[in-house]
Amino acid sequence: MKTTKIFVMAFLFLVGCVMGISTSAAAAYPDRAIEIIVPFGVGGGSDTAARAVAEGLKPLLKVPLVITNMPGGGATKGMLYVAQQPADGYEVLAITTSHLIDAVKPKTRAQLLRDFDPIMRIQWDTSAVTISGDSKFKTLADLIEYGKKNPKMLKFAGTSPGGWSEIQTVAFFKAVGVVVTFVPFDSGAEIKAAIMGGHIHGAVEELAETLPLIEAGKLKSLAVIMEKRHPALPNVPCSAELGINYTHGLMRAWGVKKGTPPDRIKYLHDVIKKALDVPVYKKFVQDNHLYARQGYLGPEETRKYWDDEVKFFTEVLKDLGYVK
Amino acid sequence: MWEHYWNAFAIVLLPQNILAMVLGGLWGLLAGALPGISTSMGVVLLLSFTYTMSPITAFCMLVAAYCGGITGGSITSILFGIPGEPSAVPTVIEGHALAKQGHAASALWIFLLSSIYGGIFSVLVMMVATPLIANFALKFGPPEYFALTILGLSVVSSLSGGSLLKGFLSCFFGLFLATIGTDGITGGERFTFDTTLLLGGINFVTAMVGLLAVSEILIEAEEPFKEYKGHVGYRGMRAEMPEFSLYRKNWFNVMIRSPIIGTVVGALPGAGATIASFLAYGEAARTSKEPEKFGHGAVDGLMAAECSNNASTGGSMTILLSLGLPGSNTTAMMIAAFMIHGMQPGPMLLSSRPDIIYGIFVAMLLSNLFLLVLTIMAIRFFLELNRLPYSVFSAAIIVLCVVGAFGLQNSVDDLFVMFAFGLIGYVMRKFDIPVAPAILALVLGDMAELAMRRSLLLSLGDPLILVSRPISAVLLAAAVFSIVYPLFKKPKLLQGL
Amino acid sequence: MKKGEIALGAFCVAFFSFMFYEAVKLHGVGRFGEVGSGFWPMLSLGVSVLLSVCWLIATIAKAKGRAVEESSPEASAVAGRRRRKVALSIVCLLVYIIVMPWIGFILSTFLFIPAFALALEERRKSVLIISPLLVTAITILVFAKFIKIAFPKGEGIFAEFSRLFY
Repeated sequence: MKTTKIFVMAFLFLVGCVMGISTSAAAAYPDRAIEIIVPFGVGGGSDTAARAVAEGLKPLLKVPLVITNMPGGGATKGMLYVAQQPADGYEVLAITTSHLIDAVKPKTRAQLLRDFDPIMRIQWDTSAVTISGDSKFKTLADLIEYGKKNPKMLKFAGTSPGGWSEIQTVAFFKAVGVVVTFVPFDSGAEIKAAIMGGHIHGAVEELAETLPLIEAGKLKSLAVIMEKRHPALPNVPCSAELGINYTHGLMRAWGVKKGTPPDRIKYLHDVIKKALDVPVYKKFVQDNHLYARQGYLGPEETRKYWDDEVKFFTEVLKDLGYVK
Repeated sequence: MWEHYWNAFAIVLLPQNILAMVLGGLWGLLAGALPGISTSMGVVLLLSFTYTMSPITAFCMLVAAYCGGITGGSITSILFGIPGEPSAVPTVIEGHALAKQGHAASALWIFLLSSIYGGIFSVLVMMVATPLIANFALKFGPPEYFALTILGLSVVSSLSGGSLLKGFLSCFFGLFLATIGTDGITGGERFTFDTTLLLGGINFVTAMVGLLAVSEILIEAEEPFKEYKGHVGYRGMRAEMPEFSLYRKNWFNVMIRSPIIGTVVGALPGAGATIASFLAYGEAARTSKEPEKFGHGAVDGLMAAECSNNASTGGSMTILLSLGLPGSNTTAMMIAAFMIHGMQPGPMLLSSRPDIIYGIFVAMLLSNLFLLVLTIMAIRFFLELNRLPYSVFSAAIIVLCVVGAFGLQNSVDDLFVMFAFGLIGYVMRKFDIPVAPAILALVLGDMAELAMRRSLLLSLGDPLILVSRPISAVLLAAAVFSIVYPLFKKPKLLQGL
Repeated sequence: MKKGEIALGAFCVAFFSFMFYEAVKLHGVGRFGEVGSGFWPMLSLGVSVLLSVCWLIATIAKAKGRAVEESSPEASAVAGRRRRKVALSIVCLLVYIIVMPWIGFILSTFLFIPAFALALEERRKSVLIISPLLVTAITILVFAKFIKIAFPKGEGIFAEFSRLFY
């Protein structure tokens, strides 16, 4: 019994300490570490992108910057976590297009447009239609012709069923009037291996990851999905010049919980904007070929961009039967 | 080619590179051995230090950290029974059982020698046969993955211990667990009951920590009070040096079969180390002269699993360097490292930057040798922890489990999953239901289901695709054989319910 | 033990049957050509139900074959004591996990260590006093400070308290 007493006393002492501290907290923002929540695992595209921005951001902040990965539930776990924290600007969520798609689904637990305010859009990636290097299809027209003659026989791989990967595959082919079979895989590496091994026809994937294999002739790109040709692949036509009205791309943005004081959002916006001009980040943009389209959008424009994208995704998801 | 190797040796043996390998290896050992930080996280944290280094120094450090992480995970597995990665499950089952019998040092020796040999073997294979392995790996489409996972699952009849019925019950329970969460083909939710808790499915590592480590602490809690954790082997590393004859007896298992399985399976993106170690472990169980020892400290099982597990590093690097495809999260981080230094891993790299590629081969070879020494030092430190009072030791293990379960996804939900699996594991052990088949099925079930449904998507519903391709037909035949064979060989297993 | 085994077998049958019923609802959800979301759950659960029924029957059959073993009062006292110890340690762990998001990792760990040691019948005062300090300090240093795992900090004043350390 004596030991219990000791513990009760120790506990009271600790509580006393805490009481003493809590009164002295009212300093200028930011006065403690800012946490970036990446709702994906270590080593993924979103993770490396966030780390690259953070690398440039760290020297500009007076406080530490912590990156926390919270994967799970198709990027919803991390989002839910930030939505449950106080709206004080210390928790920043790394947002991707998959959150916009989630906003469409009726069962969503935290809604991006309702629960979050954008700080800025940071990147706007480019996708490409990629097939095996020794494929019999020489141009996109060949592929479309085959696809129109054989509905569902074209099999295209992607990563997230019902998510961005499926939407961009199906929506692109719908724009050209082809019905494809979408085959979900677990990772980009598996998809590329399956294309090279001839197990699947191709994939609509972000361009940067496939470039080395395209340069080596193991894969080839039939079209980049953009308004203009991509500087890294000047010989590959873009979707706009082929008359295809589809130029959507993967977006990465940072946001905070709705209700965060505007001056804190402005502070974050300004300091992150500066971080995008740091050489470390510029090199990342160069290496990942993110320079083709302007990534940065201010908070207001980002909000408008989100609204437009959500409208587009609503239509596509209705078509696919995911949303009634 | 040889002159490339001489140059590479000359560069890698420069003092700063050796220092980088030692530091990277130590960091990797630490990251692997501590729960809550995975090998890939360890490499990520190291990455920001390598910005300013010369490329070859940076890769010496990262490669050593990668190999070290794989090795370090086994220390925790053997001494505390906490698995750090799914591939460590056989190590926990056999190695920790040996440790409980008082042969911790002996288990550590066996693990160390087998895993270093496996690592070196795979590097040597990688040096001569990179294009060959890469081409073979590309032949694996969804039907072949399906056959491979079924072959992995077929081990269950060898792992069932006393009762086949209970073994299979455990296995099918695991298969069910694997289907919980978001369906990888449709994206719909299964068995989540509208909560977020299970939305992401059951994380392997969290479930394993619960089933293996937490449940064991609970089982031990029943025993009468002990002042110190007396039963964990206290004999030093020197006293427990394994005899040479042990290796001569198992030469085929360790020297040939397991590392080949590891290298080849490790090269498959998405399968990797886990299937590799389970397959090698299963092969060892099937061919062992003492199959009844499996689950209770089988030396040959530990050897096979460790050897194959480490050999998968070479396979994984093969596919990364030749095609630029990351087979695991850790090798995905290597791609980031290449980009930082202005290179794109892919087929062109071998001709454009041979110095880096051959440098990495040599660095992997040497860091495996350095790790032999470093690990022995690290083990001494970890063995000291057994001096803690027993109750505190148990509490500290639980805290480590909590750190491990939480740290992987930074999610409190996972702690409840871990707790639930701790209870399930406790009940299973109480009623002599083997835990290993459930874990095996949990890890492989998900891959098997997805591979099968993917195959059917490819064939538009024709099931013949699963058996009509040569590689998958051979693998499936082997799986059927390995399920049926023990039934004939050891009919007594059918009795003892 | 036989009673327990029968109870567990019955529980398994009930649990797997319930889940099977849930799995049947998934039947028909899927893409064109493949077997759908429900196939694997129904397969694994169906076999699980069969196997647990076999197990239950076999256990009951065996229990009937043997006479009920009379256990001495001393033995049952020891068994009761064992069970209490396990139950206590399970409760400790559960409380630890539940309160962690509220009071933070550092405080809950500090309280858990001695509580769990007490549950394991540790009575050495020196151990009970020194070990929580030592284990908590090392854990925080290594995991929160050195490798920066973002442990729960707790709510309100507890968060302020946790921020002093990590």
